[in-house]
Amino acid sequence: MEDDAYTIRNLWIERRQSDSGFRLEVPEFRIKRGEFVAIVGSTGCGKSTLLDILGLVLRPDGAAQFEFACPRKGLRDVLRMPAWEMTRIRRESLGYVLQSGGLLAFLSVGENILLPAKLKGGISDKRRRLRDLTTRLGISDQLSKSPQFLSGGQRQRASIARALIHDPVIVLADEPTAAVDRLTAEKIADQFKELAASTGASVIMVTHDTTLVAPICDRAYSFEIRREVGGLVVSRCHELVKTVTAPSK
Amino acid sequence: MRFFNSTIHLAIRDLWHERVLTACLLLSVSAIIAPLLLLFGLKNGIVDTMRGRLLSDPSSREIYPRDIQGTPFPDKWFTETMDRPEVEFVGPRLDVAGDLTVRFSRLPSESNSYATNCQVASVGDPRLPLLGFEAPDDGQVVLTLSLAEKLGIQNGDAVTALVDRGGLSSPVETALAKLVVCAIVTETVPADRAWLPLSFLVGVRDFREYLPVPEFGWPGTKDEVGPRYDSLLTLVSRTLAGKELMEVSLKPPGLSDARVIDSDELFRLTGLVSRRESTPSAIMWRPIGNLVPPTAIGDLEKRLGEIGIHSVVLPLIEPIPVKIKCASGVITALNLIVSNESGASESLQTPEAAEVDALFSREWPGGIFSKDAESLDAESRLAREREENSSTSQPLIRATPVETEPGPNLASTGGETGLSKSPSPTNLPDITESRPTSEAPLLNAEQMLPSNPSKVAPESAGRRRLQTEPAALNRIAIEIADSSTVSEGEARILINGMAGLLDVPVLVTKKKGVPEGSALVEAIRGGQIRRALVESIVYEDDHGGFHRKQDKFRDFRLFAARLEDVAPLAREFEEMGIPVHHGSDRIAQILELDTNLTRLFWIIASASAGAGFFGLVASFFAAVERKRRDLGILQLLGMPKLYIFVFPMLQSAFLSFCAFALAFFLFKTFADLINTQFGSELRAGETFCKIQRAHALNVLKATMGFGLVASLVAAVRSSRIQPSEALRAE
Repeated sequence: MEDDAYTIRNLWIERRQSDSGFRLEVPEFRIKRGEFVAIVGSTGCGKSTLLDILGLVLRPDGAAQFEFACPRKGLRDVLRMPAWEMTRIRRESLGYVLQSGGLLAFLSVGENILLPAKLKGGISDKRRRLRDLTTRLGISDQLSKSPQFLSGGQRQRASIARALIHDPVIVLADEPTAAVDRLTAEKIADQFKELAASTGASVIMVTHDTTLVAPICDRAYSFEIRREVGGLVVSRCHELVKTVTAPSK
Repeated sequence: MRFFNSTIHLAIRDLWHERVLTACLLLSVSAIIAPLLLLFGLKNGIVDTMRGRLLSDPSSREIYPRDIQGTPFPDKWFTETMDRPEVEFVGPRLDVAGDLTVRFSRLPSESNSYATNCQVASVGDPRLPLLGFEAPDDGQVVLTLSLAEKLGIQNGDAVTALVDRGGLSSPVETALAKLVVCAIVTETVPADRAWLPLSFLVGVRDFREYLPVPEFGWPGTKDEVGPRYDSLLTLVSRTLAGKELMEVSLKPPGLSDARVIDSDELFRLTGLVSRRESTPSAIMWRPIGNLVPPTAIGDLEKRLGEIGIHSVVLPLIEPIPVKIKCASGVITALNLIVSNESGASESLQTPEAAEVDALFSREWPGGIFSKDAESLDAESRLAREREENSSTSQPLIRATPVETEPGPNLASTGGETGLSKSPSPTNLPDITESRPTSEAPLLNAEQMLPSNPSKVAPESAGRRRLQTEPAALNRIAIEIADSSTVSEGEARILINGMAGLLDVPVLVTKKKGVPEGSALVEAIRGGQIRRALVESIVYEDDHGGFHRKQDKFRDFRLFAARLEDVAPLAREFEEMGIPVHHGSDRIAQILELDTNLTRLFWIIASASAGAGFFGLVASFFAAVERKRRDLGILQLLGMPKLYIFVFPMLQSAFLSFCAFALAFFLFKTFADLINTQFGSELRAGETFCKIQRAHALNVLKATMGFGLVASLVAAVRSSRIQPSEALRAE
């Protein structure tokens, strides 16, 4: 358990509207350092909500245990964590790969990649890492360009580089290959896993494409949905048994 | 600081990324600020220009009395006033009504002399620097270029000042002074003008007042002032009619009102009765608004003599209400009138004049009336007399011939040696120094220029000399009715004079025939007392006579230190009972214009700023809405919320600064254009459109302040963006 980045037990969050509601329940969730975990599920199952909670941008309504293993600071109780500390953890220990890259249009590709390092501090020793990451991702010649002039795949690669530039503990990826073709998606997923493994970062990838992540993930979580009286939809997150088989390449 | 620097960098990069939108916003803000700057610059420039002109023109800070003051200002008053911090300069004012005209010539002669208005130039007078010269020292004069060119002299040359006195009905005398031109005013004053030290012009004034001016060696009456009469009465031996009367009626200078009076009126006025059955002609001559100097008597006789009419001229004064205080302490009100027995015309020595005189017998009393002398105090009597003077009704006048036999002083003052430099105290040079106008002598700084006695006092001119003995003059004799309750012997008469109450010692004698309620006094003394009613004259026991009060100045010119000091100083003088002219009205107009323009500016500025403010609010709010995803990503990446809040504010501050810079550039461009267009109406250093550095700084602060406040709504909005929105947006 000491190697777990997250330790979650009996976490829940509920959102109610007038005649309906949604409740996400996570009986147990853990991820070890350097592990590649996939969260799969259909639309509306609550995978993005779980990603928000794991990305420390959404506080759950309750949990028996919700701890994050901060480097040098040990386990931190997220439920009682002040907002500023959640921001600090996001800045220092988390990396994000968003669906369309999530690059800022007013910065160049290079500046976008370096931004987390700049916010974390100590940008000077990240120049070499920038070159290394972008070379390995094949976008080193795109650094001075504006993100709008990159292809979808290049944007996602730049986003991966940005997520890894500041040596985070966890990288959270939300459908990172949804906007690219299958071939490119597989290539990006492989590069992503390889780079994350080389940096020792754990990866949590949210995707609806089970076949894409099955070959590369160490473990996977999915959701079991039931409708209760009063219109409440309850989505229960559970770890999948390794039944996912890798498709033939 | 790391986050702040990062935020600044990100904010500016964002503005640059949206440079077209940024430029639009910049232009829209500048389009509000630039016209306001221009408007404020115009208001500021115009008001400053007007204010500057007021400030640079000392006349706007000038204060001077509306009227010549009855009570003179002593030297101490000038010193104390000058020491006041709100007073820049104060000095005597002499050059009113152009009465300080001096002739200038290149040589000490009257040829090619130019009459010039002279002004006092004292050290500290704020007008002098504008004229471009310093106050001249004693013996120096500053001339305008036009005058210097007429005279043919240059800076450093000597020039002669010729100071005239007399004129009108008295002869002209001229004094000389050699001066050195110390400066020539080239452009500022186009007309002939001269500036002289105060001491010189005081000397000019005193010389004209027939006072001696020892510092320049100009003679004058040392002590006693001469008499002044209300009117003259001319007695002619025969009846004048038709053409002769017309000729007589040609008015001598200064005597503009002449009318023939009948025998009844003559008797009533003078007590004179014709010895013949046919009535000789009597003509009364009156000046308008002035008193008659004794020299007019000779002039009048001469004029009539020139047309072949021999006459006797009698000076008349109107009854003067006085109070007589006996040794016993009893005070009685009387009317002072002149006796017709106290003098005789010198012209009586000529057979023709003696013949005229012989036609009349003196029948005192004769028609002298004083209806209510006891009940009227002196003041009300004077007021009534003034009213009667200005009307055409029968004047209350009494007359007496003036003694004209040559006395002891005649030989010394009118003889071969010319005019005396130091006439005796009892001498009255108003009369003794009179000369025909056309043959005026010159007086130089050392002494009067040699004058020809024969020209000075031609017999035909009817020159008059006082016959009265000094002893007689020292003790004023009055005669009262023998029935009066006033006792004979030493007494004092009290007169309300211009300079205050005159307390004059007299010797009272009773005489039969003198009308009740009247006191007869010799003509000269009566004339002196008449003059003391309208001039600042005192009676001094020590010197035994009437003297001009030794206060120098009855007028002043003051310059306040600041424009704001003018109104309070003027108010202070008004409260002291000295109505003054001052430039407060002009100053108030400028200040009012400033206030109104400022009010107008703020109305326009408020409307513009209000519209601009809401425009900015909308612009920044829209910008934040456009950037929700980006701001969410920044938060997701760990940018603290505070800096997300600051992000639009930094953009606003930067935009405001750039908008101000652009607006200021536009303002400068248009301000230069305006100032160039109206350059011909501006003096050196003036601008129609300008703002001070402090104003520009305030506008910058206001612009940035408005910008920051306008961005607050956007800032609050941005700080409410959740980082999860970045994930959702994806």
